[in-house]
Amino acid sequence: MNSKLVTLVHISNFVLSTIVYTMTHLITNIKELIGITSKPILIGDEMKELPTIKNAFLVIDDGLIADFGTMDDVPSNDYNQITDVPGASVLPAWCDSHTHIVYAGNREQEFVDRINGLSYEEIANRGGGILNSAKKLQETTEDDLYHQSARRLEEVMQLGTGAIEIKSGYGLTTEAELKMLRVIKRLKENYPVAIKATFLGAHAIPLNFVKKRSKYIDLLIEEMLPQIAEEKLADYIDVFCETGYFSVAETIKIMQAGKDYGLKSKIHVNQFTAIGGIRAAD
Amino acid sequence: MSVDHLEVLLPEDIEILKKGATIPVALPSCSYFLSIPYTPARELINAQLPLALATDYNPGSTPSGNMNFVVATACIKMKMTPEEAINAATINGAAAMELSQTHGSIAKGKVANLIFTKPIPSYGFLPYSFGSNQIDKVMLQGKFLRKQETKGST
Repeated sequence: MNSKLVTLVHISNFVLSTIVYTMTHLITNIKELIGITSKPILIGDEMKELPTIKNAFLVIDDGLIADFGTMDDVPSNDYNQITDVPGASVLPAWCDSHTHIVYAGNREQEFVDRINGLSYEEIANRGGGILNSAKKLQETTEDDLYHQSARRLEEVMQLGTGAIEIKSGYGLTTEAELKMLRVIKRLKENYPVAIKATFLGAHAIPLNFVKKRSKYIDLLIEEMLPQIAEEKLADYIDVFCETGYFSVAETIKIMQAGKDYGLKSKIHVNQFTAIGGIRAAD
Repeated sequence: MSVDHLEVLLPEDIEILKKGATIPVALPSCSYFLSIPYTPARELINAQLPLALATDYNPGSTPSGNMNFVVATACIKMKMTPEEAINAATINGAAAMELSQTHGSIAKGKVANLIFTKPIPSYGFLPYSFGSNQIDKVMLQGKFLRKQETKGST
């Protein structure tokens, strides 16, 4: 008796959800539907193939791709919406796996300095570069930082990006790194984009730690990481493994600490020099 | 999970990458903006490694988040074919974020995140016409974006 009742309730819930949520959308006359694959990754020569269907249809159901094929085979159903797109080709939205879009202000002045002959490294050595961004970010409120970053996210959405990874690393204090990661979390909640968050506290050694760099690494591992894990603010950990930033040994130490908190590694490596950082990722 | 940048690569680095399970990620807009070498995409792909493309959007070395420019620059400067560049910017980018079960290609059950182009003769026209916007509309999670959404503007 009871089990029958439960079944009935389940059925009525199912029917209700079907009525309320199902939203089928048929797209017709796509000139070329591009990037058809079920493989999870393309390796080496596999990347040379980009399967397509010409003169295609696509059905979307509840925000997911439900069906596709050639126009000759459009299933005859009652669709909630039909959009005809003659002339348009359709491809998967871009998946941008490496960004730092949460930042404050800009570094237009350094851009001009470089035009006038200074190198990226020289600018960094003069307290510009990442440390300049860190100073600006530390002085910016979380709300202001959110709005500046949201504008950038909206911009790249219009440019076709539908999944994005965003790194911290312009905070370089516990408070400011957490501020950045909380902004990423808010973006994730408010926009229809898949977002992955990466903790990049090891982006640069802050000026006040230059003479005691191991203390900064301790801070990163002993203070920042536990709080980030506690609030579940990051999916990955990243380190700028580069001459003048973090050594291979430091990189391995930091990535291991991240791993202990369940964060997989990403790594900035061989941007300017090859110091053996790829070995660290292995 | 991924190793990013790789503008300066030694032969032994490729050997190490071949043994590991990490995905190399190239950031051509950074090379462009800083006038530094481009990641040797051909060597990586010919070594039967996967490769992803990303923007590196940041205030210092890449103040641009335009993946269309990244794809074009990968073709123009890194000798990637349009097929390779589009794959690197979609399914392999998704893989570098562990999202390729739900994103990055046209497959049943995946999230309807789609780019609708203006009329173009073929997909090779996307990188060929670098700097021109060939996107007519964008759909994310099954809904068309309104052009110029300004929720976050201050």
